[in-house]
Amino acid sequence: MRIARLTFTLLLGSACVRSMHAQRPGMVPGAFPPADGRTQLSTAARQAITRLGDSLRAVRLPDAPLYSKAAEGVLKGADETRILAAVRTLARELGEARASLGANADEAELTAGASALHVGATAAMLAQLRDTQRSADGDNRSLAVPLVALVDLLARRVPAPMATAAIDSLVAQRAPAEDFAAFRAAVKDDILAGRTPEAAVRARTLGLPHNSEGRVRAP
Amino acid sequence: MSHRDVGNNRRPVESETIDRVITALREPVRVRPAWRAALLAGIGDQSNGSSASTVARWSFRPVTALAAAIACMMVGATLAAFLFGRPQRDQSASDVLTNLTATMPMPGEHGTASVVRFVVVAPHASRVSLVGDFNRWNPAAMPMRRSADGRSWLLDVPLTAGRHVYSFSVDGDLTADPAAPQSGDDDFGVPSSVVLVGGKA
Repeated sequence: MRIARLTFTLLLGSACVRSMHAQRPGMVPGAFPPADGRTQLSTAARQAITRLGDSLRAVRLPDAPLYSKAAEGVLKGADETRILAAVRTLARELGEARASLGANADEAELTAGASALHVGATAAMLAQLRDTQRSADGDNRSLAVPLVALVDLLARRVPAPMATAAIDSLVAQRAPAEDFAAFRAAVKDDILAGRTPEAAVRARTLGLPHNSEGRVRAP
Repeated sequence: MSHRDVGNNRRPVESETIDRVITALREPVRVRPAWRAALLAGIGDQSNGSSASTVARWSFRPVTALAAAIACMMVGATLAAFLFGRPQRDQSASDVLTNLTATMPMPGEHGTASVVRFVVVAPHASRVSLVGDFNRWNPAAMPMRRSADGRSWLLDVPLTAGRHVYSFSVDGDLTADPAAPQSGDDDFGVPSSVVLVGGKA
């Protein structure tokens, strides 16, 4: 009899926990954002994002950036249509980034590459950076740092060919991460001081030594 | 004449009638022996009932049902704390600040967490938190701590290797980190920032 009562109580407790679990939007499979009183995605939108995530996983692309993008949109108060459009665009750009950067690109490189494509870089520009990196270092170094610097320049409205050329020069010189950060910060400061993005990049690259191939050398 | 007087005069007659009715009702009811035997057999069956009927009766006893409800809530709360509590605790600012020394991201740390110190200058803010892909953009997950001079807010967060996108929530308004690279993909009108942790090199 006691066993029957204990079993009944445990089953009831398990049902309570399952019920609590189902009521927490942030805990359902797919890692959607937690409830915080802001707009929540509809079931249809969640299913659409989950399908996109599944399709990315099927081709061995990371799906976490999609869910993060959806959560970011919810926090920033975007409507559902806009969130879904952003997630779809990101899924497409992740695929394009891998096509440009190669099958060995890790998640940081892929997300940075997708961002670069999003703000104006082309697939050919990413492939150029990859080729330069392989020539300089083989596959041992990540392209994430150069790509993050490239995205920052592009986000500050530096023309894509100019930004890519500057970053490519630093990659060829096997510049350390600190050099990329210093270059990016210097261009940003110049732009904030009133220079045009083109003038800022030109001034900073002119100040750097060039190697025999005419590329900018890291300071 | 009052109503009370009328009631007092009729009292002896009514009392006699009531006493006769009570006496009649106290007489035992004559039940046919066959009915009595069937009734007693039915009671015996109930007291020796099956386990299913016993469980059902147990469930509806008020005291036992209350005890079961309390036990259910305790079990549920324990399991819920076990299932959902740990990630929140791992991400809390107080744990990080008391247990780890803040460092800058360390290139070359494969698959390990590096502690990143996030700082934002907001002397007039009353509430600042860190939001990003590492906490599902939840503004309640990582409140920042005001610095000793009261001008800045800071938080040390262990992050896994990779590229992380984040923003600061300053009194509810989102703002990018002015000292960090822009994420570029600000699809929702508010720019975000990027921090790179570890990686291949």
